Amino acid sequence: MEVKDNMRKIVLALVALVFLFPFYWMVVVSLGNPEDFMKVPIRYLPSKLNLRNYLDAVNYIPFLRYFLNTLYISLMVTFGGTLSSSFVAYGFSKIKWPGRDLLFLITLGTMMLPPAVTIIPLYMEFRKFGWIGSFKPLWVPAFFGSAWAIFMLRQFYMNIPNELIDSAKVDGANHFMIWYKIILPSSKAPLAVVALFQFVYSWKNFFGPLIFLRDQSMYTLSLGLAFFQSRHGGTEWHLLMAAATLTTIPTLLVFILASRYLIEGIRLTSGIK
Amino acid sequence: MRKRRELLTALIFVSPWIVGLLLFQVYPFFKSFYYSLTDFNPIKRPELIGFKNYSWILQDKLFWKSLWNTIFFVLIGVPLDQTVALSLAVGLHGLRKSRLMRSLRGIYFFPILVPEVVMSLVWMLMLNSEFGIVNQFLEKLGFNPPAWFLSTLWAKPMIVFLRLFFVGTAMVIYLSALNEVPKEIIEASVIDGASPTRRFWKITIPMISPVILFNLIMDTIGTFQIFTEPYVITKGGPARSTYTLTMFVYTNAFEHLDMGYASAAAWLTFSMIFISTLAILYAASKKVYYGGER
Repeated sequence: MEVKDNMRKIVLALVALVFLFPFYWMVVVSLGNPEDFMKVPIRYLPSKLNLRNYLDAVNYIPFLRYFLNTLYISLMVTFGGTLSSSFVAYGFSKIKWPGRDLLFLITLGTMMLPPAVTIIPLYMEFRKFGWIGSFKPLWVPAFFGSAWAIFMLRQFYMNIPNELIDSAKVDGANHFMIWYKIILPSSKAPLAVVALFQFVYSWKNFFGPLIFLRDQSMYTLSLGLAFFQSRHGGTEWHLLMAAATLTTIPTLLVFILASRYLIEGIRLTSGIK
Repeated sequence: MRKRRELLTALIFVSPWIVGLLLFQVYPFFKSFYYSLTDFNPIKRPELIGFKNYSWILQDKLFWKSLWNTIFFVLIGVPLDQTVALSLAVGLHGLRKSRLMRSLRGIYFFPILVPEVVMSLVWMLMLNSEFGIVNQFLEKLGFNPPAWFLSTLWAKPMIVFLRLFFVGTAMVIYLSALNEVPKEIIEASVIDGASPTRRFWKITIPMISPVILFNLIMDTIGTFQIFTEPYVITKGGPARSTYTLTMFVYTNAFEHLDMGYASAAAWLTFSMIFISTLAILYAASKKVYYGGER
């Protein structure tokens, strides 16, 4: 039993090393001289720490610009998506009305809809609004709620005892006050999970920015990195990896601060059987 | 009277979603079907041409190629993803709630938070045929490694491979399902003398089957839409060997500006996803165990 247990630990640890290696290599290359990793024999560590790469990378692509663009979009999506999804989820959980369950089923169904199907009409629609080439197509839809966030928050609100709401009603509160005064403050944890996921997915998004952004100065980090690579035939990998590392740092912060909540959040979402 | 007021209040609460649903999902969904029956581009008004786009697509070699590539990604990638995710979850489950378990779980989960573009670029560098670390290492061991993303044989499998780094979500879901398998059932089977392997196949798997089904469907839907990795790494090459359905839609719509044609391809993609989901549900309907409900 002991031996088997140790075997299990060794295998899992080896897999963990495989999972970590790409990130290790990204950081190592980002800190090294370009020659270090372009020739045999391989070096697993840079010959000397070359922090200049980071300075060069930041200037090589307009990193700060892309960073601020991405941050702006992600924060708008996070704010709008979390607020509206919470509002909508209340209507799906704490008020009984005919058609509620049907509409909720349709809501879940939309999660199956591939963006490839809706993207062309959306593009034409946003063009009519005059939004192409602006950030609006990337964040305005979030203010109307997102299906999985509504789903997640609804799951949580269902478990808030109705007595709490009934007694507030007796005290003369209407549903809007209840949502604002009782539900929002008592669901900080699930709201945080929803907010984090919205942030991460918006931060990572590639397809949306690729379609809707025109001007290079408005690119997001994901888009900027991809174009940086393809535009320069002989890619300067040490600079690219420095930019990639910088792009990953905010995600790493989210991970360090909140991975436990994110994992808990995924656990909740899978509660549908 | 009170009921009507409740209904009105409820509708105000869900109204943002109803508007969003109509504007960003329902309308585009049907509109794209209409577009698929037309000849149109951003400067030319749509002109109805019946099902011509569809019949042209079915004669388009590139469409068949992208369909086949996408099916490869689904048929090879999804089972592999799920096997790895479930194996990791079972491994972690055996560690109980220890510090080690939490750290390993965090490491397996982390890539989920990393932009696909970053992951693609790092693997592009590591698998570079001239100076990539993987090939340098393999050559040192005396192998003669292929050029990976430049090889028509290896490009597809390597994209499947790098997507294995994104199994974190599925793994977390499996892990929580494993934690919810009632201990009494496991203990009873131990007393009955069932071997661990038999216990796994006869008890654990059926108990977590709803979650397997959920992960299978989500992964299938996601993989059918695979785009970012091949777009960034290979641009669909070499020789279109990693060209996918979503790339076909994207290229026709936003590079060739043939939006009617692209819409038809998009609807065919949607049909494939829909049919696959139904097929999985049907195949599972007899096998999935719902704990006595329904």
